[in-house]
Amino acid sequence: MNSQVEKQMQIAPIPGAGVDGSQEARPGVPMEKETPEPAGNAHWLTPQRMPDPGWIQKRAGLEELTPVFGTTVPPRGLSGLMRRAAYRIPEHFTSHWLVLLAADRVDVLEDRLKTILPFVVPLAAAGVYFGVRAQRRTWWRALLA
Amino acid sequence: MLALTYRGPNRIRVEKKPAPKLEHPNDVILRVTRTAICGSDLHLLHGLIPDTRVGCVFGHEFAGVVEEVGPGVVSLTKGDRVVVPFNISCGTCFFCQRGLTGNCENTNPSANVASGVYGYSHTTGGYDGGQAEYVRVPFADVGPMKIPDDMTDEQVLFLSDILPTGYQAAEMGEIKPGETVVVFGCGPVGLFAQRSAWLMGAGRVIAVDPVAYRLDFARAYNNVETVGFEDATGGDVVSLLMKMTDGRGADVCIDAVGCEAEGSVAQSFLGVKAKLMAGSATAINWSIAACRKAGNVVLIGVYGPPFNAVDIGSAMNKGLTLRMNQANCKRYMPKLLDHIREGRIDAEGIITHRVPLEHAADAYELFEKKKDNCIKCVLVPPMAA
Ligand SMILES: [Zn+2]
Ligand SMILES: [Zn+2]
Repeated sequence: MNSQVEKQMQIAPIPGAGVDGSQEARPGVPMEKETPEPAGNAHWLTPQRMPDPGWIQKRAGLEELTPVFGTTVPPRGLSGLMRRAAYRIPEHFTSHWLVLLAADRVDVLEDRLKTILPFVVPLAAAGVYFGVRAQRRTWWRALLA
Repeated sequence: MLALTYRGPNRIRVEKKPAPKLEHPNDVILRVTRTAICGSDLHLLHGLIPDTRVGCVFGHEFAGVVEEVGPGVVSLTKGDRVVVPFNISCGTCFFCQRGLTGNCENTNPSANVASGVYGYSHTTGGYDGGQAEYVRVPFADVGPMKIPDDMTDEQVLFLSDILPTGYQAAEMGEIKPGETVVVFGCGPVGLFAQRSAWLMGAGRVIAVDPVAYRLDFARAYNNVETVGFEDATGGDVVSLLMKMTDGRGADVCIDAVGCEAEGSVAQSFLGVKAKLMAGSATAINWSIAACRKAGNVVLIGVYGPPFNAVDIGSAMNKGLTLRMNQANCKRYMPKLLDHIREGRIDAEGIITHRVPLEHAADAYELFEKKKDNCIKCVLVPPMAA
């Protein structure tokens, strides 16, 4: 430890100030380890692959799925089609991200529609039925008159 | 199980969802005991991160008890208490072998920008997060760290993200003893970056934030000098910082704010309101401007893809070194656990609110609107209460 660090520790603004003053004390230096070694208790050379459920969307240019991936919320509806289009565009093109963001908004709209559809569809059907019946009645009346 | 799910921008709700299952031999299922809301969760909440799907579960900072163990797991058994890094890492790819677990190439099929991350959209692999009663933890032999028996979940919870993120920021700044460090942001990550700067022997640490109570907290918690937007004439924070540093600028500037930074009307309008770029680049631009020539600028705030109006020309002409990355948490956990144990970092000291998971939506509002002097909010699932 050099004298500057020692001086700093005398006026320590927090307990332990300067304790990691030397670069060797810092766990992430150098950023890339010079002697590669497995992290944690990894006991494989190549990780085993998860089964492919068939709907995972992978980025353009990736030959096969990564060994492990998340399985929350499969793509669906119109937003799912938009996402499929987006993942065909490499991610260094802005359009890849813009199509995904647009798909996110469509996804929300589809979700809202799904929530209100069970009420809207019967109401609309009833409306059409009674509307047509009423119109037909007046049409018959007009014919009879 | 109960889980906090996304319903659209600014709409989240706690609802019942099927519990996660083992999907790979090296998975475990964790029963969550503590989980935190992160500043970067707000970018998700605001719809700024692409491919955030309705129904996904947020949360990348959590600790819990191992409930179910996959047949290939050797280092954990049922009942173990663990804290889990937010990065999902395979342990043996090119990057993991070099200590860069935050850059793992085996866990995110969707984008080449990051490893898999819990509860952070399909852009980081489409994993459900930990703001739930249970969560699936892949590569359980790589990421999770057992919590020592004499320590509580809350003492070590922030090893999952914000503490390694703040420490790595200070480390990437290559702070030399006696140097002046400016940290933009007094949120949880900014607070830990400030504290880490002291540990690395900084001579001066200056914290910047627009919110008065957060500056008060930073002064009390970290003994730093503070600069609020109101302290600067006309809100010109950079000029004030230059004046404070002999007109030369700080040796190291750290952007611990990210894409929703305040302070520039144009940036906020274009990036946050009109969404014509990936958020506001104010904090990174101020970092570039307030750094001395040939100094180090560190970027750890979250910015979404694809582009921002960043003053790269000034960075070049000033000869700055720009360093940035997601935190490689795994590498920092033992060292930082030691700092917590020795009282050099009181990690749980930043928790201002504990809220039942059932009321997670209220907790988000509290945190987002900075109500009730909130710094960090921890969610407690019903079974852990
Ligand atoms: Zn976080
Ligand atoms: Zn890896």
